[in-house]
Amino acid sequence: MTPSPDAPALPGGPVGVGIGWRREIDLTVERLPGVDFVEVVAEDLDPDELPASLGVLRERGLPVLPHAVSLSLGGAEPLRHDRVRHLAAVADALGAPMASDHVAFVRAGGLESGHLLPVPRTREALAVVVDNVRATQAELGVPLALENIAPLLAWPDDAMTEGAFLGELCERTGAWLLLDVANLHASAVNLGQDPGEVLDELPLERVVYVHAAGGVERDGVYHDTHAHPLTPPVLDLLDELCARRRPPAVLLERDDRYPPDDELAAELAALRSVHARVRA
Amino acid sequence: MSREDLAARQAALLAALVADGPAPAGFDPARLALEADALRAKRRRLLLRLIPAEVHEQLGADLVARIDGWIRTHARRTGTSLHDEATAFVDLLRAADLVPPSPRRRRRGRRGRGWRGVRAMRLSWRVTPGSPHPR
Repeated sequence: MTPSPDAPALPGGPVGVGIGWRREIDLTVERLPGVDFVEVVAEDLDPDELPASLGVLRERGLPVLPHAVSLSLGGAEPLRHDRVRHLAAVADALGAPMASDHVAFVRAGGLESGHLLPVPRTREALAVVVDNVRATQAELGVPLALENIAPLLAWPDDAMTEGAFLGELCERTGAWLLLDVANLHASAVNLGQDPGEVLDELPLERVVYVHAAGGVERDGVYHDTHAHPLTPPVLDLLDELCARRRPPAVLLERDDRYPPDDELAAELAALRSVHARVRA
Repeated sequence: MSREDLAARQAALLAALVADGPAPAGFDPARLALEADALRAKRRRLLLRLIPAEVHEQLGADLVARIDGWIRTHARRTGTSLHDEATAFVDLLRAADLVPPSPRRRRRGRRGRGWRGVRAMRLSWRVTPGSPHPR
């Protein structure tokens, strides 16, 4: 039998369509049809007191994947091992097959940004991220996936493309990719990056799943809000990705202004439709 | 560039974005302003969620202006959670008699010392009641 190119590359990794579990919509997520897996924000969980809703989902056999936002893997300051250990403990408590964070920095010089900031795409910065990722992997206990961010600004000394930077990062560390197509769209609108060229350079066989989310464009700037409906360009990028190499799974992120359940169900169905489309 | 250089450049960028630091060379000033706005907007949104209902009621539309003023003068330091920030902000309002003291409310600080440890630390990290992503 020829192995399917769609088979999950990561053993036990997610397959199908998922949604970001949030406390505000825990019952919604439990009720929504067609949810194959969920993702949780690791910093919002105590591994010793997981929300009951996650137990319900896990009893149904749904993978629950922890996603971190505060490791600051792109930060040049010493890695916060306490935060890595917390992520490891959450992954362990959830029986998760993997965990993830972003290629970004969130603290420097004693200040917290409160949000993901870009890393300069230089050889030197790449070496720093590689070191941080390796140190994280050594402690994490499960495979680590890295996500591209939605940038509003670029470093003046960017010397590598995003595709080359992420590709080499994965190659040198063995990390997986959590590819966010909405963030790819944000890079295209905000920094003029060609998303097709990024996809050309990324090791798509390392994509363990995909993030998709809604956003809004104002004055020529795309804001990755996670508070608006999915937009056609983001679905088109998912389609373009799937045409090249279909990722094993895709997940909807919604973090605010939660719509009625049927609207979330329709968004999941839209993702499934693009993801499952039979392509020539 | 060394790790130290990169750390310094990241610190300079972040200070420019959240602490009125000088704009680092080479960055598009319009983009720095945009990013700074986005970071402030996210912090405002999260703080609004964490501030008790009675404070919302008491200050009404004035609350947002006060939060914005506070954000501009209080960059979030490493080791400070958003919960700490919300508490500090409301304490300031109470100290200025803009909000009446709440007898029912147990201050985190008072209870905090005996309640430390990994669990307390984890709870203090809790980024949001919702999520960490930008809105």
